[in-house]
Amino acid sequence: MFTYSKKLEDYSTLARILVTSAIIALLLATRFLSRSTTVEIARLTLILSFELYLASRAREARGVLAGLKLILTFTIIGALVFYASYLLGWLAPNPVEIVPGSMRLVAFFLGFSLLFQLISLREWRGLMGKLGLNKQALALSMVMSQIPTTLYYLSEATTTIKLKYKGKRLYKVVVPLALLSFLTSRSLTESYLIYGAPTMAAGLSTHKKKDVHLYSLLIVLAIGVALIDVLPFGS
Amino acid sequence: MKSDPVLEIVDLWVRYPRSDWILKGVNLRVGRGEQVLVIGETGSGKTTLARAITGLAMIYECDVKGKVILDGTEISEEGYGALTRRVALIGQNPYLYFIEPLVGDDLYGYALKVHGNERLARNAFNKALDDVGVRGLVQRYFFEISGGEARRALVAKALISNPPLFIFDEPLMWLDDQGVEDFIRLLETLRGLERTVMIFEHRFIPLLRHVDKVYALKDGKLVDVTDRALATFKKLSCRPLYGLRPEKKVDRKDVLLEAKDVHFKYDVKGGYVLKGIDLQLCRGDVVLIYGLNGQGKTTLLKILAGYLKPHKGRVLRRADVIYIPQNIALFYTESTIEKEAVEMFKARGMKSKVGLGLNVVRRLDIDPLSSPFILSHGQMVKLAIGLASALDVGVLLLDEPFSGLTYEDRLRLLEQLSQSNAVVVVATSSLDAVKAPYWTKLYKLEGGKLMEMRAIGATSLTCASKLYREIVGVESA
Repeated sequence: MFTYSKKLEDYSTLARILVTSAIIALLLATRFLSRSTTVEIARLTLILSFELYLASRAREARGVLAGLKLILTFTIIGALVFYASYLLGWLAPNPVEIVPGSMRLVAFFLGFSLLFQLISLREWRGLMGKLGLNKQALALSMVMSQIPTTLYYLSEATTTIKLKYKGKRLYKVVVPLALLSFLTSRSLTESYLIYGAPTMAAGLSTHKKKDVHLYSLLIVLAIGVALIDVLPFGS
Repeated sequence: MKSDPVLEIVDLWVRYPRSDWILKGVNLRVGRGEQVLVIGETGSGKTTLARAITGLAMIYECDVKGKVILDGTEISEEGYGALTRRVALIGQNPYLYFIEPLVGDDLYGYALKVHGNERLARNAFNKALDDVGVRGLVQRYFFEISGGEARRALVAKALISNPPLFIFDEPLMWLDDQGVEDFIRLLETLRGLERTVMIFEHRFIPLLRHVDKVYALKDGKLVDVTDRALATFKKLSCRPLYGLRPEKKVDRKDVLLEAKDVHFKYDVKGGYVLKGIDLQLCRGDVVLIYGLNGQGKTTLLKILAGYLKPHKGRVLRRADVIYIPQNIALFYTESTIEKEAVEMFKARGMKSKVGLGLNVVRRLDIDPLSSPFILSHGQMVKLAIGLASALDVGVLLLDEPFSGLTYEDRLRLLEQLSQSNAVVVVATSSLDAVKAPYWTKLYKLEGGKLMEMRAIGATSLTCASKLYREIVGVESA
């Protein structure tokens, strides 16, 4: 969900950045502006639909499936928390409040994942470079380049430690992973000193013909989110 | 082959801060177009020598005496950037040398960095891709390609700056037999391009016929062992090979691990990685599962371990299981080896028996108060197996335990495993372990299916180990 997809390169970098940032801004606004749970759910549904649409453009069915799985997972977690609290006699949250909470969490997660699906690492680096953050941009690139192998090692370490301590002390996976990160960073430094960072034109673009499509959708979303309050069920 | 040296090392001494001298007067002269193999024990200084040649010893604050002359220029006179054009380092883990996710982007970005303008960069990029034959990898993510492909792509990257010297630090590590053949073809390509190559490698037998010279790094010095190595290789490779170990008694009624018609796939839409795996292993079984990379060996081990659930079929475990990963450092979690033993015994409610674990540590001649992370790869694997045996673990699953070990260490490790009272399952992509006389069952995993196999043509690990002793054991050429 955090791998860049070239499928939306028909849109300019600026359009992609504006759209993903606008989604996150709308999510924040929704949290503070919604006067009732129903309105908030309706707004979040609109935003989630837009996010899933973008995910489907970037990753086809896989993007939507991953998003839906996420929604299902958080809904189940929310339901489990509710029932556990209820059974244990704790102050159980109102189930109606759990729904927008879970939806918001998923929407934020999807929103942030879109930042990486729609905007390439090179574009991030170019943007940071323009802001005078060249060293930070390089560090980001090097860190991101190691994420796939780190995830693989996480799976290896989890299997190992789970069996080593008979299912207990799983938190100890942190120790070998931290050490491995240290060793990896040392080797990365070696490779950087030998080969350096590749020079790539950031390919930042401010406008492309198809941007109109993306901006139109964003405007429709923003209007929908704003006007949903005046619909009959909103009051 | 021209006689002018690409690399000349004169009386090189290197030591790390607060350590003894690792290299003690290394002398070497490598001619243009020569391919040289350097072998030696773990910790003998192979990586240190590679670091000294590439100038990387400086970042480790090493004390360096003597001269390293690369293509006529002493390296201390040049910065790292300039060295890139003279020497290419291809390290143990090729995946660490890519920053851009797409192989093509990374290589082209490097070409732009080296050559400055787009036309020259494009030419160098295309030439490198064609020379090494990696055009098919351009649109692939570097983390999705195999170790062998990543190494080829890295060689293409290195060729962009047109350096005369290529240094490979343990290039066969984590490569399967197919990857080894690919690497040999790569060596031929580099020979065709008249590049000088220096290889530091434990698993040297596949390379013996393909290099011009063989050196052993011993006691901090390089010794030319070319003639001896080739003579010994010819003599030993003609010896009869070993097979299974039928004499080991295994109680076939004491089944500890059983897989029945196991099917597995990662992706809902994808095909099955494993198809109908059947396996029945009893106490005392020492089993080898051979398969090329990507055939599902690690997946099978994780299913046997209970970490992954099969989509169809079932796995029955009738004993405590320990999994020893390929990257053995992931096994250790404590600040001292003593604590490792204590925590493992405590987790099984056997704290009073921790003495058994400490006996293992003593037998391995390891200081129990030292950190497990300072042990060599071989010591780490042996310690993990030793502790598991002391706990009387019923099933021991090992993923590629031989990576990075000398032939001698591999054989010793197998001897240790064969004495275990547990079910031992070893997954490997290297045939050289197949012929050691310690297995009660041999399997091949291919196309998702597990097939029992008989002995197949490969150099026996026993012979390889003997060959290693003969070569590295010599005092002088």
